[in-house]
Amino acid sequence: MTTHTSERIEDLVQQLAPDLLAYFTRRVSPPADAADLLSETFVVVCRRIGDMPSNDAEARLWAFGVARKVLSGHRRTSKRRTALVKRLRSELNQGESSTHDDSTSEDRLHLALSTLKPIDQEIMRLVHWEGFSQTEVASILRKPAVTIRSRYTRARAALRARLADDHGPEDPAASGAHCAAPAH
Amino acid sequence: MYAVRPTWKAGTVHDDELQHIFDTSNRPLTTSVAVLAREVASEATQTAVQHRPRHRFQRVGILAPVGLGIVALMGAGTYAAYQLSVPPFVETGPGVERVDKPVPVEFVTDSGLRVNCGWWAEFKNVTPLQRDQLNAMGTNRDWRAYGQGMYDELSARNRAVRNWPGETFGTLVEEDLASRALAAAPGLTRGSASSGEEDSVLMGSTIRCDYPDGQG
Repeated sequence: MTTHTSERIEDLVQQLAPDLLAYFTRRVSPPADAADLLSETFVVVCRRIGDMPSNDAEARLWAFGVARKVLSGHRRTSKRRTALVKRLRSELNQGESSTHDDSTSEDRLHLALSTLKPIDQEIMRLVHWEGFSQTEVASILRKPAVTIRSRYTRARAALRARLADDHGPEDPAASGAHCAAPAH
Repeated sequence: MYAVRPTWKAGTVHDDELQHIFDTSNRPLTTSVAVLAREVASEATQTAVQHRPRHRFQRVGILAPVGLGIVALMGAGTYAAYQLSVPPFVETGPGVERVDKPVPVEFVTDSGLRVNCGWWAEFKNVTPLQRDQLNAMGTNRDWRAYGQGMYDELSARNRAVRNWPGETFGTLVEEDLASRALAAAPGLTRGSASSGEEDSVLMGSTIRCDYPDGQG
């Protein structure tokens, strides 16, 4: 492995490891499994380093594509874990048990997302959680951008409607809302 | 109740509110977790570089495309030599075994080229039950659509392969089938430098591709 390649991998580790961990924690249960998936992803990244685009922005998308593939093959089996992975699992487990203040809100969002098709769920997550543009989502999911745009528009409308239904009719006065309806 | 900002109209969720709902459901990583994530990733890359399996994909697409018809024209002795030169007929390392039957990985390329590959798991120190489980992999399900599905996952760039399996396809198949092998034989682990002498380990794998209709 050349020095240049090693440096690129190290850059990728520094820039992407937390983002990829967050990506996995939002998608697996228990979230501690994200530690295994993160480790596995970087093993695959290393093995497929020859496929990594030279452009940093494209390399980031490519790495998320690898993560997606690792996630799709994820099976909860007994794994050989290093001490570091065990520590990270432990940290994630602690975080899981101590941050449930917004669990109702979170559960409702997950419930609403679950009514969408899997690909639409993933499009919504990539846009609203990972912050990717629709063009970047198309690259990660290896779909035409036009397809992603139309699916995103439909999925967003469906999700908004579902959340509004869930939210229920709201009386602005009763709820203490201060924004008045715009004058017509 | 969602932790959303007050709305001007009941029963609707606007775009900015939608993003807010996602944001409030997004638990940020703590600094210590982010640091650990980088350490885990760094460790994984070092392990991947230092401990590549000894038997990775020994691509034999250069030899195999002669096809059975041409091989039949060669003398028996030559054919035997040909066979011995092509994985999986090459010897494995001491104590390492190979499955009896490969997992078939068959597909047709965009240009209509038919490619029939086989994936052989290589392992050591397995129990009789694990050996049976690994040997059964090639026949315990219908694999006919598997290879095509994997091929269809490739980007156009990675389909431009002169001699299959090629690096990207080979890696994809190896990663996927190695995971399946570990799941099929409980107790089996991936071989690494830290594996114990007596551990039941998956040492590596070999994939071989043939072109039953010739290479075109």
